[in-house]
Amino acid sequence: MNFKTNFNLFGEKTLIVDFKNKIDNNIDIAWKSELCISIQKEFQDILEDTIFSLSEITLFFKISPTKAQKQKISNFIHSFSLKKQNIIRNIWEIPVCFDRVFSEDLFIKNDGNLIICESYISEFLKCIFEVHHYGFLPGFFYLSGLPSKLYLPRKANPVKSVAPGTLAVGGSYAGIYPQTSPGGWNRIGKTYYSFFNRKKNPPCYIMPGDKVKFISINIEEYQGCIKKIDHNIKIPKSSSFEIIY
Amino acid sequence: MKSSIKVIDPGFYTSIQDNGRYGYRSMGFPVSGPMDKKSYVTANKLVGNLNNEAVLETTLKGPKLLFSGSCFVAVCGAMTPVFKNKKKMELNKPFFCDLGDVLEIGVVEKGFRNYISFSRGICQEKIFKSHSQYYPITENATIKKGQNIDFSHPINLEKMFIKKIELNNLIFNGELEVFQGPYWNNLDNELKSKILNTEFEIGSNDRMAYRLSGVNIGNKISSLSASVIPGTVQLTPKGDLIIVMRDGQVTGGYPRILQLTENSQSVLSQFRTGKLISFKISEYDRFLLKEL
Repeated sequence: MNFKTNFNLFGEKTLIVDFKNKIDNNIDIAWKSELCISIQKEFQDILEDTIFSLSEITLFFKISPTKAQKQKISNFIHSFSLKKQNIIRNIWEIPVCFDRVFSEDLFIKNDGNLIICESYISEFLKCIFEVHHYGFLPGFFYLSGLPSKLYLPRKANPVKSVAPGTLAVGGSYAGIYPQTSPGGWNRIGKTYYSFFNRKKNPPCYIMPGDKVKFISINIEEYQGCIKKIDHNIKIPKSSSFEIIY
Repeated sequence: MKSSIKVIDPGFYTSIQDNGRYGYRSMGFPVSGPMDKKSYVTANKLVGNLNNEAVLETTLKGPKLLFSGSCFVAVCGAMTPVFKNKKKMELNKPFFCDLGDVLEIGVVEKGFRNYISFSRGICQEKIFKSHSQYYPITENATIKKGQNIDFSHPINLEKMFIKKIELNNLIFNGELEVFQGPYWNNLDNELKSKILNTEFEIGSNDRMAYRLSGVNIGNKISSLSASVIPGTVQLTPKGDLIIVMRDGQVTGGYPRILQLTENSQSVLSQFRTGKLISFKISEYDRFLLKEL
């Protein structure tokens, strides 16, 4: 892994580590998420949290960091990058119903043209998404990998209440609402699976770097499944794969 | 019967808060915890509690509570009338509440939030290492009418009177100290000085964010999703400012132009809609940076 890091203070106790990959400016997600987990484990005495986003890692210190601590973390990142990493991730198959009742926003965006809506969905189903990071709400993960022709700009006026399980597109990202919340993304479908359970630890089972494929189901299948599903145990089908750095 | 406090009236927006929920940001959990951390810390000190003890955070109008056990209580934060059995009590001074006593926190006269601490602590089951209420991580976002809140431990009298506690006066000066945010130096000088010389009016606000209606900047900025923390000032394409607060998102899509100092976050938490605020760059982070 070939990159430069740059540390910047953000507030009194937070450091932002800027990653500039010399090759493509975008360091792989699974690698970044493993790095965060390793940093958090190694420095749990001084760090309260570690998260990453597109081109940076954010380190939350318990008290203002010192020079020595910064140097230690910098060295740790450097040696992590030199080691060979075998990272296991999953590819998930998530069934989604794209019936009109769940794809209201797509329908409105296309002035009610069903043919355009259907072609959008069939293109969408060809995509393999990558889980980027969690944000917005507990258990809400950003899915990247949407081709630009399928981008849908966020709505100017968010709706007051989006149902849990709703699959939506906001700009270049797709995501699934984990709970009822206001939302400015375009609703295109709905799944009966739940991706966040506050009674479980960890409450989320989908990891950054995982892949996601959507499978289309009809409204009868959706209704049949939502009745009998037990959210405490049931998770979608998956198979694992290995990434080597 | 268990010793506890019964909520007769929850008030306008009263929630249980401890120091916050750490270690779960990577799953999208906000950090939560007290909006006005300074008043929270003082309230706990006054009754001999540890720094991370859970308290009640009130907003605008406080709750009415019935004690079915006894303990010391302190109320800090906004200027608000406090009554024990209809007798007026002092803020920032611990007093004893006995079984059967009724504590009532009125409507704020100046400021916005109060912190009620209890020398026996208050015990709610910890959820992901914190008592702080945040829906949907906890079952509710606020305390509810009729709810019983249990005490968590015996009074620690020794600690209570061990040291003199410095009280902080509420600050009503709207000038907030900030650091430069990661995006600050991408703004042109004209816009920078505009932001530093404007008085912004506080619009809608809650535990997630304070929104300020803005400067006219034209649509010339963009930024990718990046981490935000309590106190981060984001600039929207419309020119409005959004200040992330304790229940705010962990990542945001708008440029992070400024960062409120921890002290300024406490100050801002006592302001509400209509108040005018301005920003003043602090050099303290330059000092911290030198140490790095």
